[in-house]
Amino acid sequence: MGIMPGLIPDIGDIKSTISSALIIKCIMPTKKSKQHSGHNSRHVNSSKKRKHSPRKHHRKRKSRKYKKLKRYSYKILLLLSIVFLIYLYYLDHQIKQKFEGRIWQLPAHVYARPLELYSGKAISAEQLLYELEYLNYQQVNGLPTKQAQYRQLKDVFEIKTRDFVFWDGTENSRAIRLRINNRKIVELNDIYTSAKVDLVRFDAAYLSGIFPAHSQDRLLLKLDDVPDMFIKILLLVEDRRFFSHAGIDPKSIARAFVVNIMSGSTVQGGSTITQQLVKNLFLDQQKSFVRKINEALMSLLLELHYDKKLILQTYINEIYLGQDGKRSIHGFALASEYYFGESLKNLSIEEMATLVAMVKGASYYNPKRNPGHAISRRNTVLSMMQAENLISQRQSEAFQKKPVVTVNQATMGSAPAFIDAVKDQLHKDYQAQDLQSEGLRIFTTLDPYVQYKTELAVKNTLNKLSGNAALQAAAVVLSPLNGELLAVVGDRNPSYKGFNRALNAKRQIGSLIKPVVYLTALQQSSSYTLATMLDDSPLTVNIPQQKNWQPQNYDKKYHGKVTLYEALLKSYNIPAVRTGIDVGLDKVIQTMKALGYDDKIAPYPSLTLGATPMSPMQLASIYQSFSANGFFHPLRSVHAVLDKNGKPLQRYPLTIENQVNAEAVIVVNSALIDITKMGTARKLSNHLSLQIAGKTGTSDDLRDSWFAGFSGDITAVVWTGFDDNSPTGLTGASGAMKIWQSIISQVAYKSYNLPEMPQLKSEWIAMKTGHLTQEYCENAVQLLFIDGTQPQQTDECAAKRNNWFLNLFN
Amino acid sequence: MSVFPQLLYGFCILLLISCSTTANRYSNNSSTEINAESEGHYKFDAWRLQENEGFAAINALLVEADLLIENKSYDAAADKLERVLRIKPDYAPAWSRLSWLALESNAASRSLQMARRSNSFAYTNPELQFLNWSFIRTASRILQDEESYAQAVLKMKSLKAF
Repeated sequence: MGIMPGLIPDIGDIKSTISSALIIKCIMPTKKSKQHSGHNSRHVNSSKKRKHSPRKHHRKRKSRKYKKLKRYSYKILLLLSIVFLIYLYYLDHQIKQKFEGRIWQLPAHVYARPLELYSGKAISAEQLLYELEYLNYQQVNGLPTKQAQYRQLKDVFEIKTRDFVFWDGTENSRAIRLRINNRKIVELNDIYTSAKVDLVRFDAAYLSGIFPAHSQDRLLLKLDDVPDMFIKILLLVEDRRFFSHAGIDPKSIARAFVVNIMSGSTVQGGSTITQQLVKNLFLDQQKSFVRKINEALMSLLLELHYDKKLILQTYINEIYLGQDGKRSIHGFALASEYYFGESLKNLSIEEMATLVAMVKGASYYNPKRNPGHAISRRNTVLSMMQAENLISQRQSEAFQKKPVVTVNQATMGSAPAFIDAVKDQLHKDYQAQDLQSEGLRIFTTLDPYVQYKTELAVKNTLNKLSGNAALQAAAVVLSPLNGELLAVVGDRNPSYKGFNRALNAKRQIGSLIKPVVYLTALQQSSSYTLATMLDDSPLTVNIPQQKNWQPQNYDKKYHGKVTLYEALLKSYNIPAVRTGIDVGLDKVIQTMKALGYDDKIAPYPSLTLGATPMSPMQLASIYQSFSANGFFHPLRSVHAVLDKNGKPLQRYPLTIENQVNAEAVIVVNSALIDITKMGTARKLSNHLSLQIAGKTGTSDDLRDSWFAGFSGDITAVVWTGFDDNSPTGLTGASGAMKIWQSIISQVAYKSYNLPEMPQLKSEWIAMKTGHLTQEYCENAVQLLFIDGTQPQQTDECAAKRNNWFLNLFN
Repeated sequence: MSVFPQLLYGFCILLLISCSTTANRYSNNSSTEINAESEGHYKFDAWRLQENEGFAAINALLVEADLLIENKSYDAAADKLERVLRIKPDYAPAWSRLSWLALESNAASRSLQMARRSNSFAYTNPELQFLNWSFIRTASRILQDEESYAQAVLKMKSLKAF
């Protein structure tokens, strides 16, 4: 049966009822006294009149007065009792409402992708160390015996992983030994049996939370999952008679009173665990008599309704145990993870004692901030445990000598720009309220090492590029062959939680559009190939009802007839405009959409030079398609979502779309490779050993500097510019490309290689004519063609390449 | 004169054959083709494990995926296959399995794309290409995409030589 809302008085009603009762209480005696005094005066007068009134009469009058008083007292008492009962009812309702509903709003916990190791995996020792640190693994000198420990012996790592519940089941702890050689795992064995291990999946690192307004964070624990020893320590220190009292413990109060009087200060509290829970859940922290009374009443009511075990479990999950920035740490389960990097059941006895010691003052006894205080209080707890024979004297002495070792948090922040991408993806399926309160476990695609290196690349390179602290940057890094986002940075200060440029800054993309324009042309392979000659001469474009447009090249020169390949390599503007108009602007837009662009776009001729605003994330979609040879994987930042009990709610599977001609994309990619060797991005080849493909982009007046490109295992898009759109003085090559290069040099392991396809043929082409020629001819370049589209005409060598070796044989 | 009834008889047979092949443009008319729709059957030869030490992690996941498929836990199996692709994104048999799983999950369009992706990595493996084209053929029939269906049939015919 529910209680009708109208029957429940609110706090205002209760307060007014109490005040009326008090007023009545104050007024009544005054009336009586007035009456009494009036009566007395009359009595004096009457006694004057009736000098010889009998004593009996006086007694009668007194008795009548007493009766009257008694009657009033009953009424007052009755009234007070009613008020008290209503108040009790109100308190009871409050307790029931909270306990039988959802007690806490649980933030969503966001996890990074789990690290998977196997023989042959490309990983550097530096990366592995970073991953272990990020996971809060503890380095030990001996063989790792506990979960989340590791030992490093030069290039050999011995690691004991943690148990972890994933979306597809529990991954049990493994003890592995691995050897890294030349940035690759060359051996992976079980520590104990030396048997080969095929694959190890580590636990997923906690990345961040999506918090409700109060920023409380907690992991819920069932009482059955709390170690017995922990419960014993907790009850010993906080409430020895928990299972025998009724919510308040007069004996404890009396004992605390005596101890405090004797010591002259508050050294012991008399509050039971129930009272502490009531205080934390329902009341404020102020020390007042009224609050104390409420606390006692509510404790009694709580114990009346609910099982002791439920009360203890709620206390264990509610208790405040410190602060991590804005996030407040609640409950022993989260505190255990936060301070020791372990679940509660895996804590040592002295670590359990440290956590219980913190109950007295989470800030003062915080083992991270005040280890001295924490050790002192922990030792007091250990002594209490010894006194109660929970541990032996020898154990107590040994534990007391141990330092408090807490885990360090990884150096990376919470990657707020990435979290925005996670929210963006999840908002299609979940309301913001659910993300903040349902305790969801969100497994993302974030690669902690790539995120860390991207953040460093943005910060360090921007400082080198310009002394102007207003110069901003954004970067999106992803896995080319499945569209999983690996890292997102949205500000030069990567931990800044404000405007996220990676997702929301829409800026003109400049020449990054050109591969799309030429892809559109190459898809019409009967008209266009890389060897097609394009016209780079003055051009005037008539735009109805607007001023004619005369595009110009970056170097303000015209280059006559150039191959499509050269036009792309050197990023000439006029041939791109001519090609775009020739193939049709609507076709160019169609190609953009087929590559993954999901926004509206106007078919203006200036579109062919990238005079259209896009965010780095939108460009990342397009370039992902290039990097996957024409297969578009919609970008994903989330793999799976579980509910607070670990039950899978939603899985975000790998998806794929292919609406462009894959061969044509590979032909464009062959030119993008050459751009990084001989074109506008040729400086990259001096710094990177891997084969990569990419394109520079610069908007008008150097307002935006872009670079988009890919290796075999990483695709990245970087933008730099000012928020107010003022010129940066940076081209794509002198700005964004440097950040891109810094990212790729540290996180990419594989070259981008063109796939061998029978439909694709390469031929030597004369750059000046676009005709077939010989390899040894000057200006000959090897280009890729969709079979059957090769040029028919052949040029004889005008001049041979100055190659003494070839000359020797020719 | 005795030739005429024989010619008439032959003509009737030819007519019947042509009717039976044109009546259903999407029919599976070859007994030698791999029938991707046979329920529960998934252990295609083209998916056999690579007996190479470098494939230990992949094989371990594929074995787990196959077990999950047997138990009809298709989502969990797809998870395992995605893990394979994180290790080796160009591993064509994993894409092919995803294509089959999509068919089993009534996601024909997804199956078609996965099979095409598998083929983009399987240019040296005609057996796997053949299997993938059979998935494409089935998916095209479900999607009523005549052009794609015809292409798949043609490709399968040309690959039969291998």
